Amino acid sequence: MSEFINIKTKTSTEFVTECKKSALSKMDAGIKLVISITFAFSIFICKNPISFFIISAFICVSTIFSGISKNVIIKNITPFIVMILLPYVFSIVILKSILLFCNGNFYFFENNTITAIFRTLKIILLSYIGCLYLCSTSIWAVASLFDKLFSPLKRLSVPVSDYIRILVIILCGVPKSAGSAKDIIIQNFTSIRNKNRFDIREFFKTITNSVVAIIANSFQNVEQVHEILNNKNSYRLDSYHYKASKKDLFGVFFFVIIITLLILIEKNFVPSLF
Amino acid sequence: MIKVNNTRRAINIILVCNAILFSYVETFVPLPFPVPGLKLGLANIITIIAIVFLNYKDVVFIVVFRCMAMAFLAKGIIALVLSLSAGFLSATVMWFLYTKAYGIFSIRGISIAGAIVHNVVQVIIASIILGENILFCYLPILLIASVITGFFIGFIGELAVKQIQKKGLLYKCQNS
Repeated sequence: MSEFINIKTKTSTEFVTECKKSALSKMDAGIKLVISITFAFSIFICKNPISFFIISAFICVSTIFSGISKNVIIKNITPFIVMILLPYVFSIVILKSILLFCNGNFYFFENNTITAIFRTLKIILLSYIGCLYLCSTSIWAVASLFDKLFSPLKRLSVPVSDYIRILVIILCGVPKSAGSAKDIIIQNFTSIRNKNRFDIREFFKTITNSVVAIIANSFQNVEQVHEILNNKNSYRLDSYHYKASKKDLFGVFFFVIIITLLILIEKNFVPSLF
Repeated sequence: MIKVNNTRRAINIILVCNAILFSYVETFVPLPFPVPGLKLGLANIITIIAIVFLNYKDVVFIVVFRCMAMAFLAKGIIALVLSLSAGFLSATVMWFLYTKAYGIFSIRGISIAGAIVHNVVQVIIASIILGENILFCYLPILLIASVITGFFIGFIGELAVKQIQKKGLLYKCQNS
């Protein structure tokens, strides 16, 4: 059990790459969640481009305070680009090419395309806010907070705490399994590398052998995970308590200023300033 | 009784951890035919194994917790919405085909069906998020590619299932 990592200090992205301890990570998880949700909503509510610019600027400043490395940001944005943005761009290219062949017309930027690009930027920002929150908050704090947030479901006999505990066990188990899996993959693939001729059958056989070896190897931990599940005290979630610090007050102060500014802009009180 | 359930749960947790690992591993495996938005889907090997050896509840447990853990680890909220909806529906379709039509579909066929459902759902959700139907133009390419990746994953899954049966790895879970 000692091999499982300490989740009270680790943030979720620390499994992927290192994240510095920063001003943002020292803020209260609840306050950060409220600020993140408010900004996420304001991205879609605000219609004025100036509001959008202010929110983006605030998120940029938050990124600096979070101390998150570029690699983490890229890793978090990549799935969105690969899963949504690239297929979208390719769809536009395909459709426009068909139109070009059929009608001889080629208008790449139409009104609805520009609207869609603006909407895509908003979704990237939304995704990024979520990334910032998860990168700067420890798993323990997020888990305890979610346990508290979903506590009304406990009255309906939904085992919320058990599910969150399982999620935490999974998050802690991944780095442990990764080490042994890496050795298995290296061991299996060195034999392929040493051969001069690439054999597709052998390639698939090696992948299958690696998959089965990883599963077989991981099953050695069943007893350990079973023990953790039975022991209610291990990975027990603390109940979330709000703890205000100077950093929280500073963050809330800025948040209030920006929200007030956004309201004024949206109500057309400030346009003359710009 | 609780202990038996916990053994099953422990096996599920370990399978989820493996699925997450395979998701990471596949980022290092280059696709022979790179198609934007398309992944090999190595994590689906675990879904196939779960469909063969475990019950529907366990399959859903593995898919849901895998998507949630991935969202926590690196992928974020948008990816959670996409992978959870697509993963859940494709696993349900694969489960249905395995239990009701195994004579008609082999594991490779089931995997192809799962890959197709996964891509169709992802395109639907992505077009809802973007508010544009244009993404459907890309669907035929994704479908062709998903047939190929589904076949590969099904092929590996089939071999893995045979080896697991041979070694009796999930025997404990099947009996609990």
